Amino acid sequence: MDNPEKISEQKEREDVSVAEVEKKGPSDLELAQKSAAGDTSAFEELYRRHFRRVYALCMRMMGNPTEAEDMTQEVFLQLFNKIGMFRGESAFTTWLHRMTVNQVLMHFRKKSTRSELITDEGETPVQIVRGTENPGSMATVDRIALEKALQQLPMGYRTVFVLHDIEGYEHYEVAEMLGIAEGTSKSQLHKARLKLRQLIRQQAASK
Amino acid sequence: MDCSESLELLSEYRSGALGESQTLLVRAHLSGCVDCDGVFKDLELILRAAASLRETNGYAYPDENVVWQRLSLSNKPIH
Repeated sequence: MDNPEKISEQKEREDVSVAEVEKKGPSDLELAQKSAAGDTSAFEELYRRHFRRVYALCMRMMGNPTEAEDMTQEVFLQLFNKIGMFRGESAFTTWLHRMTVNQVLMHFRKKSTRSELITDEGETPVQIVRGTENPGSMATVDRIALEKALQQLPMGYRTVFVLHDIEGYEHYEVAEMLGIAEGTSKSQLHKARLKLRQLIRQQAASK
Repeated sequence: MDCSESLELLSEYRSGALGESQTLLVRAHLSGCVDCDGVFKDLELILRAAASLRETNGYAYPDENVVWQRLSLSNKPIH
C-alpha cells in the first residue's frame, strides 16, 4: 500500500506544470495533433517544452551524462514516430514519461543480464552495529548529496528508487515495468533506501 | 521486537502497510531505540529530498539545440 498523500501531491504537481505550460500557448495535445499532421515546428515546440524533464529522468535512471543525452535523443525520435498515437486520454507529460522509462528499461535489458537489473537480494545493506555510528538522525539531506549517492547505487536498487520515490510510480506499476513481483519491488526499494542512507552518511563523514 | 526486525519493517511502517499489531511493535521499538529512530528519521529526510528531485533544475543540461539538430527530423516522415 502506498502513501495516498504522495500520489495526490504528484498528480497535483503534474497538473500545475501542465497548466503553467498551457497558459503560454497551445496545449500539448494540440501540438501533438499538429505534429502528427506533419507540422515539424509544433513538434519542435513539444521537444523544447519537455527536453529537460526527459533528460533529467534519463540522467537519474542511467547516471551517465553521455548515455542520458543519447537516450534523450532516442526518446524524442521514438516520440516523433509515435506522436500520432497520443489521443489525449492521459496528460501528455504522463504519456511521455512512461515512454521514456520504457526506452531506458529496454536499453538496460539489451545490455544487462537479469541479475544486473535486479540487485541481488542479499542481506539488508545496513545493519546497525551499536557504537559504530553516530546515533540520531542526519541534520539534513540535500539534493546534491542524494543525487551523488544515487549514482553509486547498484542498477536494480537505483531503478526502483527512481521510479517509486522520485517519479511517483506505484509498486504494481514498477513491478509491471520491470517484470518482477510486487514484493520484489518493495524489498528492493527498502534496501535501496537503506543503502542510500549509508552512502550519504559516508559522504558526510568524509568531508 | 529487536533492531533487525524493526529495520526490515521501516518502509512498510512508513507507508502504513503494516497491520495494527506490527505497527504498534515498531512504534514502541522506535520510541525506545535511538539508533533505529535515527534510521527512520534519516529515511524521512531522504524521501523528502527524493520528492524534490522530480522538479529539480540542478543538472548541467546538454544544449537542446545541438540535440535537436542531431534528431534531423526534417527529412523524416511522421507516422
